[in-house]
Amino acid sequence: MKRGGPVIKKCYVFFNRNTAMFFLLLAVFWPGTALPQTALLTDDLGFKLELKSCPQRIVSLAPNLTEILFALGLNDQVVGVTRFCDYPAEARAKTIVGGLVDPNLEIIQSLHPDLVLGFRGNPQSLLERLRRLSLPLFVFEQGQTFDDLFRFITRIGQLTCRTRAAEELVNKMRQELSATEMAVSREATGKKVFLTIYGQGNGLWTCGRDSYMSHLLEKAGARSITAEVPGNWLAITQEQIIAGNPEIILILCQDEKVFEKARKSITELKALRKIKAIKLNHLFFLEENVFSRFGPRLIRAYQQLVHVLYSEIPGNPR
Amino acid sequence: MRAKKFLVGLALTLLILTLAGFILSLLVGPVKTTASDLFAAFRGQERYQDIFFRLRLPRAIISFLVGASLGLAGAILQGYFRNSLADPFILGSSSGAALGAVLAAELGFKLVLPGFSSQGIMALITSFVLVTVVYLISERRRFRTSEALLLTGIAAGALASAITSFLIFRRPDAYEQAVFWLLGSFSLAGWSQVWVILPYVLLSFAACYLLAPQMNLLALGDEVATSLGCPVKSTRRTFLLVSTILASFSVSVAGIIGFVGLITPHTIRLLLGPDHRRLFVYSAWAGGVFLLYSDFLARTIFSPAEIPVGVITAAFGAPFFIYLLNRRGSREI
Repeated sequence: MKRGGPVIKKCYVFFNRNTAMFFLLLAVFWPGTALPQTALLTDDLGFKLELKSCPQRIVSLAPNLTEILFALGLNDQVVGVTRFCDYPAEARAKTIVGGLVDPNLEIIQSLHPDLVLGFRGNPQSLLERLRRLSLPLFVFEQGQTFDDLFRFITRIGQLTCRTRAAEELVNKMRQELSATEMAVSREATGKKVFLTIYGQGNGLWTCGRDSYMSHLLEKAGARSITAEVPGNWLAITQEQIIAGNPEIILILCQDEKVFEKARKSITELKALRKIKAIKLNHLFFLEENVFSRFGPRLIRAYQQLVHVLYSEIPGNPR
Repeated sequence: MRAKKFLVGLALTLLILTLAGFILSLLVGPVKTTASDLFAAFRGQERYQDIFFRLRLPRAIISFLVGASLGLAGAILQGYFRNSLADPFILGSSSGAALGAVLAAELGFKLVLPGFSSQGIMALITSFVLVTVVYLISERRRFRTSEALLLTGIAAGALASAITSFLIFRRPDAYEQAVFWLLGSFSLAGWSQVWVILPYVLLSFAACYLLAPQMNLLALGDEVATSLGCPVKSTRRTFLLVSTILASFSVSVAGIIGFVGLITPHTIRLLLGPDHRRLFVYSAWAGGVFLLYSDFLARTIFSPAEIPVGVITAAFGAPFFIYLLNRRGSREI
């Protein structure tokens, strides 16, 4: 609550001092940068949300939303999170409203939120029910590129009266991004990569054309063997992997221990033994928790990826 | 005389269970509330108003209505096919509903009519259309047997399931949306749904009550029924229409909840005998009570997490049903 104080005060001072004319000009020429006393915003599903003041009780329905909220300094304003919101550690101290697909309406209602942030992965029927309970819901579409991510963060900043903090965060991320990008552009190799996620049910899964992972790989100078296949997450067969013949296999998993298991299970697949990546033993670990959140840590994911692609592979010098 | 006493006893038991079930459903949930909170809310205190009257009460009512619909639809179809394996979804209405729900997600429908999500509406439409098509196709056959209807229904259901699986396969993220329909849940129940389904449920109940004697005639076989003055074709059509309405609306608000529609009519038949005048009333009532308690358990056992209500209906219903079937001295099915 304390942290939110000064910003709100600033809003009031701001409006009291200025003339109606200036207010009008501001509204026309500078819309959306600071949250006026009543802001009408449209979410990614086309629904309008009217915010009368800066949200003080925010419920987040996705881990990446929670991360962004905390990164914007809204630690005290966040009152409810999902059971998957484990970053930053403080998020775990918040009331858990349920999962991504099964948040408990009663718990959300009992928190009396003045802003509920949802994303497109929440079931549509759930979002519709929340709207009918007249809860102030705002839904985001998951993006694909870093630009999408920056826009995403900026909009959350606007919603929560943290325009400045969002701007700073985005600038910092942009800087880190371009620093890492430099390393890539010098040595862009276009290596073929098979990125997979381990432990998600049966079979092998990989990212498709519409996944931000594919964009991340592209930006790191690599290319997913399924970069052309439409879809977000795809089930892939061993035959498709053989056809793609990747030079590098990246495995997203919880930790190094799980990675060893995953590495073994993939290298033991007889059919794949002639794949370049397996012959060269180019199987690498990526931290699932960092990679699976379309939020501020995506930069870290990018850095990890570049590190793996350019430092850990012999003959692929930085 | 004994039978009459038994009937009164059963009615009283159901009445008490219904009242107790509603009170329990209102009082217990992830947010701790007491009886005095409830009284305060009745007298207008705002604190828990939303939780009692916008979340718990409509949910209890919906689960009761859906249970009653499934119980009644099951009783109708078991009588219709003279087959004790029939359940409300036997003609493919459940597969049709799942297809509609996934289609809505696939097409990205955002339309919201009062009370229903776009998926609910699509589920309702597809399930209704599917059963109608099944009926019309089997009508055209030279031999209008109920087996033809049954088999056409099963085949059409399989076709709808295939399309559903294909859509899910193409868009793995639609899977979660489909799970709701495949497992059944009341977690999103609200008043608007109550107002939408209530008229249909009441109309269907009234129709069944009036037509129950005809069902008793149909149970003797179509030829006998005809000779006793029953307009077989139109009666059968009405029963089919009513059961389809009941099943479709149930699926569209709560997804596919198995077992209620199968065992409730059976249980009542074991207790009261095959007279459809009683069978219809008590199947509906008992189905409502059964699902009211099932949903109560589904949302409280692992609170705040919820388990699919179908898990409860099977886990508690099946052993009880097996016991009833094996009880010595029970009437023949």
